[in-house]
Amino acid sequence: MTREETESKIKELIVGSLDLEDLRPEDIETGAPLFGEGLGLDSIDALELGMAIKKAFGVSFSKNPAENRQIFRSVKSLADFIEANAAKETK
Amino acid sequence: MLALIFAVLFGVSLLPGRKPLCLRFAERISGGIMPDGAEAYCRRLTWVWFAFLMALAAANVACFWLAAGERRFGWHIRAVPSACAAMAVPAMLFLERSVVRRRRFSVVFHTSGSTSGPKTVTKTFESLAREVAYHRSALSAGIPGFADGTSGVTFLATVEPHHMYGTLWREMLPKAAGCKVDPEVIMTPESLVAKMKEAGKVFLVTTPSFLDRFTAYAGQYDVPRNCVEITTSGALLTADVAHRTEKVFGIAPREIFGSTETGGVAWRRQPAGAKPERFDWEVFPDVRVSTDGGRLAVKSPFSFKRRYVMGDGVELSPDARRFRLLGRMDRMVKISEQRVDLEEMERAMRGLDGIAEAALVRLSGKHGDYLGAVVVPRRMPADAEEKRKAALELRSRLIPVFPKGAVPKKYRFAESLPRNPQGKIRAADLASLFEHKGEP
Repeated sequence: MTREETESKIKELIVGSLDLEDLRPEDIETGAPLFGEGLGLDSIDALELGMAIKKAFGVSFSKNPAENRQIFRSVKSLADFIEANAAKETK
Repeated sequence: MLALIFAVLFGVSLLPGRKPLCLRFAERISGGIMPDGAEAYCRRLTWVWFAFLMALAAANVACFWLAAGERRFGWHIRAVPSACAAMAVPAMLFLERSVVRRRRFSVVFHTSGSTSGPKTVTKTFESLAREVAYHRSALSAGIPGFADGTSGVTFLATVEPHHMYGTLWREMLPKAAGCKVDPEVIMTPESLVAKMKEAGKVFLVTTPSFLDRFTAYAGQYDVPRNCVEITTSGALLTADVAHRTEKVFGIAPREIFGSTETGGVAWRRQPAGAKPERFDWEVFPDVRVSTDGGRLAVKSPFSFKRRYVMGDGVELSPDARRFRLLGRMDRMVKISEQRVDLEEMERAMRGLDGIAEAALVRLSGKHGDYLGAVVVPRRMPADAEEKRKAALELRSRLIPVFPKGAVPKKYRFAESLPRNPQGKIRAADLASLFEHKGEP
């Protein structure tokens, strides 16, 4: 999976978990914050997104909430995490 | 003996120039609103009672006579208990009237449901009649001849007769006050002005939404100044519309606050130039109000229950004869475990740039309840793609406004909010706007 494919897959999963009929993957900026004033992801959306990513990419997230917050900061940080961890698992 | 006394009472009332007793009962119960032919019917009914009671008295006399004969002839007749049993028959008839017919002579209303779906409310005819009788006497202070049917007032109404407000104010009240009612439900300014010009004095039964639209364009019409009263109900009248109405018609409208369940509870006027009172609603004299968890609780002879807690948050004056409304409490909903005050959120949305009006509705999806927002924008997005972008942009602006997890998920842009003919925004009408375009 190329970096671009990973990012667009993440965007699709965000659209699915946010449940917004007006939101499309191309509306989400790769570097923009997902929580708070950006996309306004809440903890329940994040939970659903986390499970969807785990299913799609076979990665497990940290038990540390602060670390997870860093991972879920943006599409970019999520893609970084997925690349690093998927790489670890294939090695 | 008792039967004879009653028989005489009924009989005397049938003499020429007197009101038959049954007619007097009927007038009392109905508050003066009687169907055609009721008088002849009541006269016949009085005759029946008179004949029955006379027969009863005669039977009693016969019984006493026979009882006296018992000693003479050795017959065994228990005259006194039988006389008592005979009197029990009319007593049971009265009991039947008050218990059974009270339920049977009732009116079923179907309410719109400001929060959720519609429901039915069954009211006794008596509770409606009492309310009408009260309004007739209260209004007669300002309208000469209103109490005795000589006012010469014509009722014009922009509301339909089948809901509570229409039933009381455009059907029963004019009948009780001996006034003419125009049978049409007035929908256009042109027909209102034309009908006002035909009538001598006008009693206008209307709603805030009609007054709002009408007064906005009233400059184009030559509105006669012959209204003796204007009533509105169904939704609150803003001070702005109240003042515009006063300018156009020459009188400040009388606002009635109530519900189908409770009947009328309180009233107010908002005359221009008067400083608004802190407790602006005056409770009707026969109605008792208190608070129940911040909501208005009503005990009223006009109500369908002894005590009814309304959905309106309220602050009472110290003597509990006046109050101030604080918005509907039943518009507090739970979304993602967050309590959300829809009224407050709608106010906040109206305060944002580019939004003229906004209404929120709770919708159900596969992940539980969420909010839908119907927005009247100052500038309508041109096409579907612009609407989609505008929705996303609006949503991002609402994130800091709403509690976490309660930001509306769906958006609809409309030219105006859906209001029913009574001027109410119903949850069901809002929800129907979200029925198409994919469930989330």
